[in-house]
This record gives sequence, structure tokens and C-alpha cells, in this order.
Amino acid sequence: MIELAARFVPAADEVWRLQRDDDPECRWFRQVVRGAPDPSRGTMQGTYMLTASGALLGRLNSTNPEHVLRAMETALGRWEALDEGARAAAAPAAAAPRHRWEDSYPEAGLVLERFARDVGVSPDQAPSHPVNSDAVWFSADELRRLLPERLAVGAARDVEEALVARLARFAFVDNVRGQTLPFAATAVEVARLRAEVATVEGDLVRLQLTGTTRAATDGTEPGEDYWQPKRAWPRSVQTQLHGSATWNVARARFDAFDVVALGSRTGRTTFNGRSRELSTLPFGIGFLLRLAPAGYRVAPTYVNLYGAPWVKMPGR
Amino acid sequence: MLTLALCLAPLAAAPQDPPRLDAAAFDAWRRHLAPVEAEERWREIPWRQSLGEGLRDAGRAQRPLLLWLMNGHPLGCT
Repeated sequence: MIELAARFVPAADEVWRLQRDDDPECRWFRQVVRGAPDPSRGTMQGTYMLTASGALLGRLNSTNPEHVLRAMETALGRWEALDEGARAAAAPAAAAPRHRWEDSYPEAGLVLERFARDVGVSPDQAPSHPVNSDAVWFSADELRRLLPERLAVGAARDVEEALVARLARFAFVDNVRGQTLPFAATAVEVARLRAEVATVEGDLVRLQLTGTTRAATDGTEPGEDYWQPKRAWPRSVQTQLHGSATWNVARARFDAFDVVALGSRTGRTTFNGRSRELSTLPFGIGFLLRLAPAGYRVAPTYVNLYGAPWVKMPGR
Repeated sequence: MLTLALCLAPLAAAPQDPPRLDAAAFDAWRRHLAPVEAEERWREIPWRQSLGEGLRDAGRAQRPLLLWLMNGHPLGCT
């Protein structure tokens, strides 16, 4: 698969927006693969092979690697059969998006990867699978509000609840096994994070981070997302936070950021793979926040709900 | 009743007290929660992170685009 993929330019994207939204990029994509720009009622998940100018070479929706490989080989045959002009054609202007959530990427801010995994009582046990990832973004202004005002050993700050609530509502959610819903603002019962300066060595300020979060809902709050569940699913997540971060004064950025959030969860949502569990019992869950690799710009799942002025909304 | 008990046994055994977290256990939990090598193999393919980025680079490289679409970004939360 990796060898064959090297004969393509591989790309990945979120399908819900492409199959539903009115953005020119989405309409162009639907025209190319469905022959009409109208929103699709069915899923358009899958693997597509196309030219940069929009000629469809193949498509399928399969998790069978043999089937995907065959489709890729067939598409390469169609590509080779094209004349040179068709292969050299660039993407048309009509394919350019008017709005993407990545437009709000906080260049000078804090970009974190978040991993979620089921856990037992000890870290010495073998990790359970799967692990699911997401992103968390803070703007440059917000990341400075994570720091104590004085960067001296022992100085501390209780981070404002609105910033910690971003973690409780959108990052510490049970999507270990599949997509879930965020928590509404009213579901956040506890959102505490304390940053205390542990050491200072030249420009490097090491912070100790501790805190707790709890979010719980009976599932009836409206407007949690544009994806409305058909049923109200009661659920909760509570965590204890511990971590450290290294602030580089000269570079005005974090050189390291590692936070573990451990706790328990109850309940389920429609698609998060918990339908066979007893919904009222607590299960262990763990989250890791760490710096995202350079160049990783995939938007947080719920960035549209951040309610932050630096997040560019469609039409703005 | 026995059948019901047997069916519920695996479920009833799974819930537990929440795991403990303190400074001493932090590094072990951090390693435990991070993806293991097999969970990061997808990074060996140089996925562009959007349709537009893929189209741009496919045009420049004069190669076909391989586009992977899922509910939730395949390189993020699916």
C-alpha cells in the first residue's frame, strides 16, 4: 500500500463538510464525483482517485486493503492512458475553498494533539486499543493566559475557567472508539487548572500543571453541535490532570507540553461504540495532551464551537 | 437467570475504580496513553491534510491524487 501510494499524491480530508456544505470547494468536489453539485444525503466516505483538474479515475468505499489496492491499480492504468495535457492540468480555480476551519490555525499559539484511550488501574498494563486522536488549539493571546504573571519559582495562576472548559467540553470526551458529541457549556461542572512555576533556568520556565474537570449531561441540551442525536444519551467524564510544560521566554512559545488526564466516564452517544456497556457504570479513560508535530494543521473536531473571536466562522 | 448472569459477567467485570494519577506515575501514564509504533504507521505516508493541498501538489507533481475521506478527519478524530 505504501509503495503504491507513492505513485499518487496522497491526501485526506473530512467528508461531512465536502458532502454537505455550500462552499465552492465542496460543490466542485460533488460535481466531480457525483455529476451534480447538490448536497449528498448519503455518505461520501471512501477512497477517491482523480486528476488535479478533476477527472475521476476511480472510487470505492471499502476497508478491505485488497479491494483498495486493486482500485488504485485500475486508476493508475486510467491515468497512464490520459494524454500528457490531461495529466499536466492543474486544479481549477473553482476548486478553491472560501472557508476552511484550518484558516483559523493559531500560528503563534498552542497546537496540541490529544490522544484518548481506555485505561485500567495501572500504567504497567499493556495499552488497550484503539487510541483516537484530535487536536486542541489555543491562540497566542490565550496561551499567555495559561502562564503565571510572574515567571518566578513558586508563582502560580489558576487558569480562567473558560479556557479549561475548552478541554472539558471538547477534548476530554469519550471518542476512544468513534465520534461522539461535545459537552454543552452548561454541562461543565468543574474546570480547574493550576499552573505553577517549578524551575527557571535561563529562558526556560518549567511549569507544573494540575487540575480537575467534570462534565455531565442528561443529553437533552440543544445546540451542542450541528450533528443532533436522535436520542438523549446521559453521559459524563471526570478527570484528574497532571503535567508539565516548558515555556521558552525568548521564543515566546512552549518547547514542551505534556498533560495526562485520567478519570472515568459513564454513558454513551450514538456512534461512539459503547452500546454494549452498562450505561450507568464508570469505566476508566485517559487522555494525553502533547505538542503537535510541526506542520500538523488538522482542525480540532469542535473548533466551530469554541466561541473564540479568533476562530473564523463561515461567511465572516 | 444463569444465562443472564453469564451474559452480564464480562460487562460487570469491566467497570472499576478510577486510576490514580500523581507525579510519580505521570511518566508511566504518559507513555501508556501515547500511540505505540503500530498506531503511528499511517504517518509513514505523506498525507496532505486537505483536498485543496492534495490537488495543488498533484498538479505540481503531475501525479494522480489519492483522496481518503471519512466522517471526522482521517488524520484526526474519526
